[in-house]
Amino acid sequence: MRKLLSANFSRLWKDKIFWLCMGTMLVYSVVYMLNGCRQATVDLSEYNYSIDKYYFHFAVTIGAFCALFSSMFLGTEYSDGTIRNKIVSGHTRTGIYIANLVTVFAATLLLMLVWLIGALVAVPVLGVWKTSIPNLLAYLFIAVMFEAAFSAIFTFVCMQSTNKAATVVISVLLLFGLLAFASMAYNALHEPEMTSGVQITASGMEMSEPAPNPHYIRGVTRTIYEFIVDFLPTGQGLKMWQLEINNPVRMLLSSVFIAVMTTLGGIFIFKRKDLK
Amino acid sequence: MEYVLKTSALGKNYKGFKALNGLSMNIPKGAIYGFVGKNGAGKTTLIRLICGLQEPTSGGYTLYGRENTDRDIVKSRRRMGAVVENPSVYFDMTAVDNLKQQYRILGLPSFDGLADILKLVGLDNTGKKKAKNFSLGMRQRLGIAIALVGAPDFLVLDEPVNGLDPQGIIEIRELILKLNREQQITVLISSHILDELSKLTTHYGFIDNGHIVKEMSAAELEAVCKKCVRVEVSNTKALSRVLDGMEIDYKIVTSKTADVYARVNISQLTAALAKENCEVISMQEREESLESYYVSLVGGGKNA
Repeated sequence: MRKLLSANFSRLWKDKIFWLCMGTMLVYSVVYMLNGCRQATVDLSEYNYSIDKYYFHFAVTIGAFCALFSSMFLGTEYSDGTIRNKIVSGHTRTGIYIANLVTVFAATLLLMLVWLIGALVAVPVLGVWKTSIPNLLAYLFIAVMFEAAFSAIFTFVCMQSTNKAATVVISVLLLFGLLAFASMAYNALHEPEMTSGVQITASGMEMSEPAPNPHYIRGVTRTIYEFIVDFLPTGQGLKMWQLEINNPVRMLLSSVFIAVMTTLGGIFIFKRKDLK
Repeated sequence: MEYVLKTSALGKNYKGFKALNGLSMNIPKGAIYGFVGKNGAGKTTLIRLICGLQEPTSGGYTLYGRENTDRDIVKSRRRMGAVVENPSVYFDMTAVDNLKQQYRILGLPSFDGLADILKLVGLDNTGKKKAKNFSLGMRQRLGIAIALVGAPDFLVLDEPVNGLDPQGIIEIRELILKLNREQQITVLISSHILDELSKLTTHYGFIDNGHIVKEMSAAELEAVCKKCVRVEVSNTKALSRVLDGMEIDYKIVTSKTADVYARVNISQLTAALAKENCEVISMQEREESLESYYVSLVGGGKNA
């Protein structure tokens, strides 16, 4: 395993896609935070936003970077045929799989780190975090764990698909599928319980009496929707974006569950896979 | 005799298609084993199995005495180097970086010997040129160089001269012979180019429809392919009687032709046949090549 990690990381440091992702993430974070500074001080100055409002906005986009990077990096092993060198050299398939997972996870963490560093550009304007340090660390820990879940999901895809182009397409589509699914559940949960419309009467426009919103979800369905949003890494990202984390333990356990199950399943399939 | 690889009734099915069907072969230590067969005969499938890229459906094999079902088979594989189909190289890396990557995969403590390997395969002057800009022959040699990292005892080469120009073929041949003679590396080499194989191999395995139809040493093949005189007569039974009487080695090929494996006195033979009322229609000196022997074994084919 140590040997495979050494080989993977030495390749990572020379990988153009990785550095392109790192550079993009850095530019993205700086531009995004400067735009946040403008919003907070000009457009929305009355809301008195702090850096907290924008600092965790990487949570939604990090999945896309993870999908793109992992499929390009691990896909090369199949497209160039170099995964064969590892197997012929006497490495176990479990070792190869886990080393690849660790590499993708480390790269994703580095991408997050670049965002977090780049985002500090807003400190002179927005000041430091208003939230407590333990709360800040809890958010970061949840982010690390759902990145582990993302890494496990995309490593699973990359290790099963032997066509690099197909791997990229599948990974990106899967990410957007998960994001759309989580968004639907998240938006459904944010439907107001009561709605009141505007009606035009003889005396002018009047607010109608509040009426129950038919789209409001309640009961078991609401519990299921809440679970879906907390369970999916994309859902966790959305909640982190909105600083709405209210069930951190469930989120952490969900990330661990996804990471462990996809890795066990991935290793099981990869060990039985016929390679060419 | 000590064997590097022994397979026993090895089978591999792909969705109902039997790629290997009870294949049994033995590769002696120190041999250059030529693996000969048509396209689709099962050569690459066997190589994939012994490299651990695929698992057999039935049967098994031992590599350096370890069964393929043994968890420690990976230790035996550490003594192997292989080039399966296309060379497994990172196209976005230089030759040196590719080799360094293999050193890391093997966990070697230093890059000692790297320059020697590159020199051995003739890639010591490629500088910063990336593998994607290499010619096919250079990639093939880089693939062999990667396979040689860690000083393997057993080298598996799948069609190593495919697509190479004549000079490239000669270079690869000389490299394989050098590795075998100087470093005692056992080599399994599959190839379509039979004449090229005959310049290298010490042992042959002829494969057809997923099983070995004949396994023999180069000396045995030489004996089979020895010079002969093809005689066409009106009656081969009479010819058999005459040749048996003269204690001459022969083989009846058809109802009217036979191969005679000796220098015969033609006057004596025709006189003896005349006494048996047998006419000699023609006589032709011929030498069976590896190719013709192969065709006679597997019944010919477009891709042989």
